[in-house]
Amino acid sequence: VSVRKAPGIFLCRCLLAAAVLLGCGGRGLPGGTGGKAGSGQVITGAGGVAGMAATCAGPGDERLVIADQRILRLTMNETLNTVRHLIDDTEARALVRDGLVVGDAVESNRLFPPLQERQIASDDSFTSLDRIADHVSDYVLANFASLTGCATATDACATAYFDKLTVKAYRRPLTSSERARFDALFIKLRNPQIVNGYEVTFTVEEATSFAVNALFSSPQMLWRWEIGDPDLASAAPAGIPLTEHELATHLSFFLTDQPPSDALLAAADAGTLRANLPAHVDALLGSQTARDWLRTIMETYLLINQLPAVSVDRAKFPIFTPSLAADIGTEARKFLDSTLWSGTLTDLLQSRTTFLNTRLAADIYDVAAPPGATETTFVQTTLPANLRSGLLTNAAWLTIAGRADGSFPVVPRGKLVAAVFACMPAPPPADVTAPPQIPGSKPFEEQTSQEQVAARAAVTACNDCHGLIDPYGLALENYDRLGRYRTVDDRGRSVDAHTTLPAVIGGDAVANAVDLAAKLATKPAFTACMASAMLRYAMVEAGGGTEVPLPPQQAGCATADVVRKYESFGGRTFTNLVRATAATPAFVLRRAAP
Amino acid sequence: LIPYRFRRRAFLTALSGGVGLKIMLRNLEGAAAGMRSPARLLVTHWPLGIVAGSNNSLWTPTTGSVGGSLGLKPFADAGLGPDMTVIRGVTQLPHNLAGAGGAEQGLVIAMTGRAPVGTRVNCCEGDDAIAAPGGSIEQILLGSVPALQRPGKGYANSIADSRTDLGEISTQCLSYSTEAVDVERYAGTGLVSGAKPLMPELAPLMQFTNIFSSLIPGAQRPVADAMLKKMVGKRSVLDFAAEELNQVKRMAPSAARSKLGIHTDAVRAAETSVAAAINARYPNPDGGVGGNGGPACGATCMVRPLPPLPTMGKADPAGGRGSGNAFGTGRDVAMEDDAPVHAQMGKAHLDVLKAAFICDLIRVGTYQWSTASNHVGFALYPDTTQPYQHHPVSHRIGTNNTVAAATPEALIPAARFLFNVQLWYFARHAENFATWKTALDGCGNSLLDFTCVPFLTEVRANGHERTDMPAMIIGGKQLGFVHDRYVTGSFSINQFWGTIAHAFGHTSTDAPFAAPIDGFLTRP
Repeated sequence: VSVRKAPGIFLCRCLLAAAVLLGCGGRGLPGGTGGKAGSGQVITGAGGVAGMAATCAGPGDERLVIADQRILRLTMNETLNTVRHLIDDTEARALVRDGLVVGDAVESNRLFPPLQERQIASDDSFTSLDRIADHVSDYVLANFASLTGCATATDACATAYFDKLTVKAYRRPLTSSERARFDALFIKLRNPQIVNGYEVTFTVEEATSFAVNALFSSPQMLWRWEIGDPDLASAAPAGIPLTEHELATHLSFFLTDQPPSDALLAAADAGTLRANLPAHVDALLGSQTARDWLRTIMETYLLINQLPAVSVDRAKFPIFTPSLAADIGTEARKFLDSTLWSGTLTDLLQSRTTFLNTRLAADIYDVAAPPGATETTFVQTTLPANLRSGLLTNAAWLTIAGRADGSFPVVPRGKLVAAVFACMPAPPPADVTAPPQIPGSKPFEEQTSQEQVAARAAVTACNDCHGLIDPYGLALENYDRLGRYRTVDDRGRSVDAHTTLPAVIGGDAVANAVDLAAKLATKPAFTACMASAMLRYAMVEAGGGTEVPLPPQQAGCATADVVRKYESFGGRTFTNLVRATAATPAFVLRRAAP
Repeated sequence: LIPYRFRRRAFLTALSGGVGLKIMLRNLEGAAAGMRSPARLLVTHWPLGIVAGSNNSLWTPTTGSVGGSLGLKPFADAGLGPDMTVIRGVTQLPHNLAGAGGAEQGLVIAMTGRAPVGTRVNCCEGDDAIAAPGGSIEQILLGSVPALQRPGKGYANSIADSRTDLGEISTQCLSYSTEAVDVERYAGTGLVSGAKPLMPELAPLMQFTNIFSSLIPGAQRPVADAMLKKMVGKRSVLDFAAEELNQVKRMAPSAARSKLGIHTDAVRAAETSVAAAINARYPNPDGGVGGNGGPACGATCMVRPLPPLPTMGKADPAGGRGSGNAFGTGRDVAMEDDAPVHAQMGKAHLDVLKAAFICDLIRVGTYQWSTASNHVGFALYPDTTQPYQHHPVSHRIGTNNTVAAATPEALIPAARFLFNVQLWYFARHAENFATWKTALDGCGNSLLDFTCVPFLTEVRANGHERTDMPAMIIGGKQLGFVHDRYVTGSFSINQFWGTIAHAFGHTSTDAPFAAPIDGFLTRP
């Protein structure tokens, strides 16, 4: 018997022996070194293993520059935002409504980092882009006057409109040659043609609409260009700075997933963006757009965006109605908004402030509804200190990992904690030819979680994996499938959540989830993991399902640089983590590529 | 079924009159009878002579008219070698006027075959040559060769950029009326009788309006329905996308080129699919080939071209003081690289003229890329992206610098710049007239084969020499020109024009014409 290692599945050697009871399968998790995401793409921790962020040899360490000169195809969401920016919101919504925008523009489809979708404009993805271009083109034709502001459709008015559009789309001024080629296209469209004997003439409106179609088909718009300015190449670390306009694009998509604003482009035009990068980062971080998008990114990182796709056994958990599912999603979003923008990074693990409506207060958290809360109104409140602590005890986050019936929660939850907060996912198991023998006097499914964990720990072949993940899951034993606090498990046995953390993270004794959160929050591994995640989000490129976005041996130094800057900013906030990421050489420099 | 030709004629007849329409209709009638295409003359100009290299190494072809010549390579690349003759050895002497500028009188003499009669009063300088009475060559021929005449004005003069040093007329005008006017002289006193300048039109749209205003649009062909329009438009979009991908690949690193290659393949596949759908759904109603179709006699004129964009090349600033004679190092930079727009304006003008010839609305015209004192900015100076003005840079150096080395790389930067600009003009000229070669006129014949396109410059090189000058004759095979030849010797400008005049049946050798150069003409 061999163990299959396929995209989307990573199997433990214990799995077969345990009659597929351990819940080791399932979707890859963020930060999993060598693990594979559901899309079949490799996800590699940018910082390598948490707590192992390599120190740099100095500010000239060449490992600070982690990406080559490159081009990145806009994600579907970035394309959608570009449509919104160039055309209008109505058309952007129509593209979603008509099913033309899929991929990461659909929240539950979004992977972390979002650029981990197919980067190649192959036949399939080109077809999607082509249909978007056609749709936008038709929309421009149907709404020519209102979009262009041309009360009378003249060539001069149409081309004036189009000229402005091209700069927004290319995210930089066009070269004179590029401008001339667009002009030539317009002239070609406006002049009569004889095609197969038919006379073909296009009106101003039609020519404009096809020109817009061409704009949305142009590689300058569809790809993000990070070639840099070789004339400004730095020696230590060796790298080519992004041009001002490339930097504007990179920064804007990083913080908002949208094309650069007019203000950002103006700064790039003036050549002042690079020199004032921190100020521009702060200005963007002050916008609701950036805050909403970065919260969305963190939802994706934490897999909370997967909530709509979670499978829960309604027979066993009848309260898990669509309304409840929506409520716990809302609570999670509000928690993140509050924590990311008003708290500290460790509040992700330790905050007891959350937002409840009457349903969550009664059905999940078993607390009195905060004053003013209704079924539809969520009100800030403080949860009991001995029972709740940040995301580790959050209903949404606990719900996203596990089997539908809630059985064997230790492994999926343990994997989630290890991957997301420590960036220490279990290594992929080696192929085995025979299942290991699990000790125990009673059937595996009849053992308590403590007994199951002990049984796996006793077998070396199992412990290689499970020793790194089971302790985290065990510490969460006081919470059922939906995050409700419990003192007995689903078989009526007393819950024992105490455990010992893996040696690699310190080997601390932990009493329960609240204790686990407190311990994790003090670990350098946690900070490094968050920095690694942010850097991977800012920089990652994955393509073809096999490309490793950031080799750990290189990214370790870059992550360490983010951590160093983060800690120097004073105030361990999420905002400072973003600032530190944008300030690192990895963000602004590229290696010369052949 | 009514034969297509009759349906077409019935449609046209149903329209009300207008000169253009009558011409068009007559042309169709003629085509039906197998009419030979009319002879046409379009005189064209490039500024500032050539960079010949040592022993003419950058100029002299080794085969045919242009083969093996680096300086003439654009014509070879465009496949025009068999359709042209290159001449070296034209002289303007003894025509000369002391006090007139080299470029100024060079252009006047080139076009009129006579010495200027004086210099004109203008804002700042006294070297603006006044053409002698009698007119320029193409106007003389227009007046004396009935086959060149058309209803209305019958000619068109265009220029793509009209910036001058100090507002001189002589450098921005090829065409002079046979009518004389009094001109105030700069040197000396009083008025002098000179040929009236027929100033070229700078705006392609205005030129279009001038020529086509009398033509009533007609469209007897089946009109594309919405589906065909959609597909044709989409094909243009995909063409554009593929070209853009080709352009950006050049600046992409190898990994990116690979991605863009896949992207390009997808675009090409879509393009092929659209083209196939067009041919499948809309087979040619004439039964001809697919694609863009081969029009029947006169058919290309049946759809009046839509106007070019309302843009135009650059002119001197208002005030009549020109663009300045800021010559020499440090004073000859340009504000921007004008080349892309310049190329676009040139093409727009030549497209208007081409359409006018095809529709047989004119048979005579002139076209200048720029003035003889050219202020167009080109980013073609070696080792910098800074654009420089063509004519002002030429004053940095002497002709000796342009003949000092056998390769462009060995020339000093300013001379290399001049050589690069020469190549640029030749490339744009060749690109445009290559399309005239394949374009069919109203009678279904090659437009270029029935159109003589002299291509002249006002001086030999940047030192303003007016002997041993280069010149070319492009097109006109069906007018009797024997092409694919490189001819050297010493030929007066009057012989040059006498040769061309003979092709149009004007055999007088009275001034400004002289006996034709041997071997240039053989009636087919």
